Amino acid sequence: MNAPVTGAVARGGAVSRLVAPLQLTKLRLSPLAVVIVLTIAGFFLLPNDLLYAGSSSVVAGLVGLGLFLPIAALRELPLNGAGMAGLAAYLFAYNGSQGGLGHHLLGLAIAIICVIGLSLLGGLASLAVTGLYFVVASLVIQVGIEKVIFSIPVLTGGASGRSVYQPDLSGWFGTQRCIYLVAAVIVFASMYAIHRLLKSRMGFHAVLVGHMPEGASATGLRNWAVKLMVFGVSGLLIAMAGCLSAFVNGTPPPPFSFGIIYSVIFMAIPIASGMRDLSSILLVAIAFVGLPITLEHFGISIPPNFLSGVILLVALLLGRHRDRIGHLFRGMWQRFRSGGASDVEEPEIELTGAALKGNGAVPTGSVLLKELTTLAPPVVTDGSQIRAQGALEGRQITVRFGGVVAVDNVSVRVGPGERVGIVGANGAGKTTMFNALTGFVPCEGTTLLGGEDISSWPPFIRARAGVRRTFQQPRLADILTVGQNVVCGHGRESVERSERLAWLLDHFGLAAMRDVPVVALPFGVRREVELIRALSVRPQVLMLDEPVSGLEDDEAERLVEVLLGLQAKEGWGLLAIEHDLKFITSISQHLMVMEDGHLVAQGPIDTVLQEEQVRRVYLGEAVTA
Amino acid sequence: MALFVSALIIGVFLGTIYGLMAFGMVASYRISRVVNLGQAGVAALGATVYYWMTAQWGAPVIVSLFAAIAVAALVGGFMGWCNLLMADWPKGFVMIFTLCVTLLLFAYVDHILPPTTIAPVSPFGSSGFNFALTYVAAHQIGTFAVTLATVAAATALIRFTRFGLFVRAIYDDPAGAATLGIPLSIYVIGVWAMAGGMGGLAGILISNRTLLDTVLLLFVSVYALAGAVLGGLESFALAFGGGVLLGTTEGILGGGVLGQMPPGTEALGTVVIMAIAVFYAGTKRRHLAHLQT
Repeated sequence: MNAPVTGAVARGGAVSRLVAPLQLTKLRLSPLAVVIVLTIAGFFLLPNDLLYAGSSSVVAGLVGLGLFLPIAALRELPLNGAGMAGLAAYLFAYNGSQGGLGHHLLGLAIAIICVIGLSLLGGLASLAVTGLYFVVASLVIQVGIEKVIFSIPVLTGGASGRSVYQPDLSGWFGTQRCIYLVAAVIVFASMYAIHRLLKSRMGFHAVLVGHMPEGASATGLRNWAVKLMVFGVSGLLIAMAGCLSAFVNGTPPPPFSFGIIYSVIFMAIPIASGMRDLSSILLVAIAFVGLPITLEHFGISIPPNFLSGVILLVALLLGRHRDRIGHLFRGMWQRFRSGGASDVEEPEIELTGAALKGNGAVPTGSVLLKELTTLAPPVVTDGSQIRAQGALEGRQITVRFGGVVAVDNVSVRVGPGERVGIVGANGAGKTTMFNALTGFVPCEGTTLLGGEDISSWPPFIRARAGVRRTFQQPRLADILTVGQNVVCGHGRESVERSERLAWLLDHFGLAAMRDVPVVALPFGVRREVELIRALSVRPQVLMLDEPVSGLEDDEAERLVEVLLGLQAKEGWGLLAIEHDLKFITSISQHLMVMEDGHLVAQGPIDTVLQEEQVRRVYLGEAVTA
Repeated sequence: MALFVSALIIGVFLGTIYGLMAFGMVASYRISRVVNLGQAGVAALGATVYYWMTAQWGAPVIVSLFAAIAVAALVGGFMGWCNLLMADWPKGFVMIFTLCVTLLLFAYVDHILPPTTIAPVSPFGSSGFNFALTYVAAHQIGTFAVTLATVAAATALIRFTRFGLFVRAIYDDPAGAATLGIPLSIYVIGVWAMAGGMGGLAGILISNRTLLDTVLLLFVSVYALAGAVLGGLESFALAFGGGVLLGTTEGILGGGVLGQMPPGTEALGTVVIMAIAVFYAGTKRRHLAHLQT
């Protein structure tokens, strides 16, 4: 099936190269190489008394990595990183100071459990409050740790602190070098693990939940569980960093080292790194932590607040203008190599739907229909325990927004193999009806699936049961690629699922764009990506909200062909909202017309379109007496 | 009873200062949608300039007070100008920029101040009187009065003047306001300058009682932010009220009214109230957003 889209592959490849820097999980060579070289060089070249700077830097980098996850995936800014790291350090030291490997391991376990618990508390807060409110909620947690927990002298060890085991080595491979090695190995192993996590489906799920929670629910994801998972992993990394900081120092640093200012600096590390790759986080951490210690070592005393402020400012500017600066340096390098000749410019590529999809390369019309009838994708269900068969039914659905009745006592039924269209002017309540049926807005009335009352089910359970939908504005994670977006959703990965997705991508002409970030795609193509995601498992009912808006005529025709062919083969119900009369008449057997939240007509499509009231509502024609 | 009254007075004193700073945060947030973490730095700078002029130069208190507020307003206006330059930046980045300003101002303040902690003289003198077996300092009464007067004046400025009308227009719809010919840059800088002035005044008023300590001022700004969030960073009245509530709670719990408490627990009540405030405001905001959708 790949043969027809060869042209698109070439274009897609070029587009991929163009937008590659936008990819979230791409470990770019240059910062990674710099970090590895610096770390190895530090291990071999740094004198013993400067190795502490290196160890502290990588530990700060680990906190930055921990904070990177909620920031990048969930778009939440936690301002309690230092407090949590401090708590871990004190708990580790409290147990470890009693001596013996067992106590140290116990301290490590307690520290990790407590900090993960605290991080999960932040995760729970993020379920209730988001954005700025979450920032303040995390600040409150930080203040709580600082003012309440750090006030307990038994835990912090008072002014003298508590000692933590450090290996007693001498010579070139001394204590500090050994500690540096341990810290670096742990941090690099963690970085690799996060890299793998972000490239896994779980990582994509986290990004989708953070960027488009409704889209995640519509694919059957349990958003709260994904959020808590991210915060749990974040807590684990920060706890490890806290314990390492106690290990690196020999005793936990004093409480002010885990204060609000440090929380903000830790949070700024991933942000200032540009949020593109993990290795840059370590580079920024080196600048924030390693540089001041090194300068102090050479007798250059700079006020820590000044240094932090300047580094933060520079990192902010670098992070913001990274592409511009990179381009500038690349240009200078090219000029240098070519002896002052003019810049080598990259060809501009027009990112239109037709160009991206290799217009004309994909079979259309009867050829495609023939293919569909002879070859169907593997049928995949989502593996859920919940199995509902049959019709989706909304009985006497009413949705109120305060005093406004958006949908008033409307009933709808879509049986297996049936195709129902809903039309109406803007504000008629069509999308609200969709939202009610899929559980995104609370409503009065009853929703049934296969005769079972699903009114109390949340959206993700309905999606798992087979009520799949698309949205008017595609709910895709922009920073993920097409391929990453479409694999998101509840259910295990399987060969059948992969084959089905490949089949769908082929038939929608998107096979060549698997690696293109969605942000680079035109609106209509995004719609198709969302549709593929909805179809990635066999639905019971597919609900499409204005599916051809933004598509060219030929693309809309192909969409109809694919949908009709697939529906005929798999027998699911189809419910569609659309303003495009051509599309709705070609896809629907049954039509419902809504106006101001009321159902004004319904029945077979030909009959309904003849009704005068419908013509007035939908076609805008004058009704004559 | 005397203990309670004393704790209450301290709490209200702290609360009005939190409220004043929160008011400034709401003003700058509404016009730029940026959380102004620079308030802590501006407060430290204002207090330092005031201290320097009164203690080192021997300048009259009233002159020092207005000069310090003017300097703070100038820095606030500078941050507003930077905000305009960073109009297309993500708001989180701009928020971090305001934090940079705070760190740099802290560094400057720590650099010029003597190594020992100091407390600037009160603009209201060092006298006081007894009330219900409790000593009430003139500074506390003066702070209460000045803070209320400032907040009332700022509210009147925003609600009843042409300047305020334009500011409210920008709050509602910056692009729409620009199409009406309102010079956004002047008003954005003006509002940030006003917020800076309020931060500076808050710094001067609080450092007389809590010493001129940058870390303490950072906490003050965090408490003010929590107060501001209580009103969803949109309501001046709720922001001021939230600040007063937090300060009063802190004063009462920290004032020994409940007897000897284990270490850390006196702060627990304030933290819990802050958490409730954030939760309440955040969920209410989500509910409103849902209704708007």
